[in-house]
Amino acid sequence: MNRTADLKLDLAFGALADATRRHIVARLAKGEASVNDLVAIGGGLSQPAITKHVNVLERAGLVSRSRDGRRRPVRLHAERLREASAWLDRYRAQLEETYARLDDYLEELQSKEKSREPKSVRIRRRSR
Amino acid sequence: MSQNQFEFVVDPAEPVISVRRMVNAPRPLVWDCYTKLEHLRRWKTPKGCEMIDCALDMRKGMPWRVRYRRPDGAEFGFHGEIRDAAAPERFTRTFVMDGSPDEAVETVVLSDAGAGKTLISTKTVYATIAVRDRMVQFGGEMGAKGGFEALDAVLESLTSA
Repeated sequence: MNRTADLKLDLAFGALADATRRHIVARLAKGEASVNDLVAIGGGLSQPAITKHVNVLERAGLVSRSRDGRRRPVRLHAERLREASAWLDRYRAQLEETYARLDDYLEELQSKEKSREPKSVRIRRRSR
Repeated sequence: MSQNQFEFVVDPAEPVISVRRMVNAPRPLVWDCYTKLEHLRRWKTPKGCEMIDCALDMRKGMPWRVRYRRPDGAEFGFHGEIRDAAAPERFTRTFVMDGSPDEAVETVVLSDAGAGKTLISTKTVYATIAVRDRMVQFGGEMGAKGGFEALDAVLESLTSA
């Protein structure tokens, strides 16, 4: 991957890490929307807060805002989204998998401890 | 997959990744899993890989290292130094990919969440955003191919459109 692509991807990558921005992206995947439309799905966030999130997405090249008279609808750039989300999701999946292994291992350790308890107490007493 | 709380936050402006994950085990046991080799070997090894070397001493200033072999025979590893450790609550260590000049600083905090549960919070600070993203890219490719999670629905709607 060349350096420019790398830098572009850096931005997109960070932009997608935020839950609110993912919500916005999910909404835009269904079609363009105004900032006010996005405020409606923004989980109680103010318009300036939503505008800020849209600006982050715009800088990352994930969305653009066109001029349409007084309206400035926000539109998703699907190609960029596909590029950026691929490695973020791979890493996230990798982490989740590791924690799932930790879950299993903790469960194994705890069930072993439970079944061994009476025996190990006895052994310890005898050896002392 | 587990229904335990899992948060994964990549800061768009700072070279930081934060993860929070709840597990069903008391804090001392989770601490052991993070700090004892015989435990680490069992869960930290990426899927399909084999841990071929590992050394860890949780005392401040001590070096640590781990090395894995992938199914295709290629090897990779990480090393660093323990900056600080307070059992069973928190430790901070430096984190370097073998062969890379870039150092990250990882802090792991274990919080007793009651009812036999522990909240694991990790914060990794990288030298730059570009370094972080290289590490993440590598991290994603370390083990088996991962599936899409958070953006699954979005991507599906895009490709079917």
